[in-house]
Amino acid sequence: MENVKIGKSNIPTLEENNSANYLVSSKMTDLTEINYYPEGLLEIDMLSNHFDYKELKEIAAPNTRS
Amino acid sequence: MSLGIVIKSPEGIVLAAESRVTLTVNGQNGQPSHMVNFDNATKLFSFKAPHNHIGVVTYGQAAIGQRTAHSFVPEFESTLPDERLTVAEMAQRISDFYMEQWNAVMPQNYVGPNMTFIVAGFNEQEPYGRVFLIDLPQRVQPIEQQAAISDFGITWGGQREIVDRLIQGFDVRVIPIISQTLNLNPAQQQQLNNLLVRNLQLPIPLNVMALQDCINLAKLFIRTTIEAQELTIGVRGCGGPIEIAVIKRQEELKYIKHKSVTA
Repeated sequence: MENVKIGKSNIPTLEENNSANYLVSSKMTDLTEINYYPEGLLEIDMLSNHFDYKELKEIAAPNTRS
Repeated sequence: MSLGIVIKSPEGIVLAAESRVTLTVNGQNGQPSHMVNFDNATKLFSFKAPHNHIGVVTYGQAAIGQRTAHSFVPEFESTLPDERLTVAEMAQRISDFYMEQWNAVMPQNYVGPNMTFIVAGFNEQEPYGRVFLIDLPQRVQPIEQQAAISDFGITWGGQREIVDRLIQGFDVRVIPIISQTLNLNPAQQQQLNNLLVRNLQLPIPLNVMALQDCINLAKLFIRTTIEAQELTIGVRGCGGPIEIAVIKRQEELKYIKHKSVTA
């Protein structure tokens, strides 16, 4: 997993301007970790193709289950 | 209408646009009665040497009087000097030329979308491209996008609702709707916007993307917009062939997808 620099969108309302932009600034020093799984889920089996939203909820919020 | 996109990446610049022009035909009482589409307009244009290191994408107001922006290119080219201009100089000349055409025929009390130009290309001896935005008649001074030389980014406009949603992760109208409903003050609105962008924005790592990836990205945005408009209720202002061009450092503009006349 790599740390890469991503940009920030600047999207005005259509009344303000009909143009928008996404900027990856050379001044940005903070790198964003591209991580498509919520924090704490990296230990799950990445090869599993049975990972669904129900499982995600159970893993991500184990303390909220009644 | 229209949708135009310019991507400034480390490997070069991608320019992309679709080809639909929408005309509104007024009825006898002056009210709009028909919207008519033509799908072969040219919204991505280039210039002859030595100015072939620069390309332009236009969107918004399609015509000045009865003529499209592209139809003025021969006249504009005849005003260009024999030596290569910088991208900033070219942007200023485009602004001055089209503003002159605008002032000649458009009403003083014009109300409607701006005619927007994204002017992009390379200066000699510079490692990365330059991108400028012009909005006529409102903003005649070209504004540089991704202004630091090693900034990279995407500039898009026109019918940008679908692209806004894809990139930002939500519709631009979300903040006003929530703010009005929950009576948020400006500081709270900004906080909400920052929170949503941070969590929902599409993370596009332009710095590490190859030129081919950027071409694919531009094509994805325009094709998705066209197809979404074909399947939903609304103004179908985008359509026809997608045109794509790239400009690399020390190379002239090259069309990747370019329509040609046929029978």
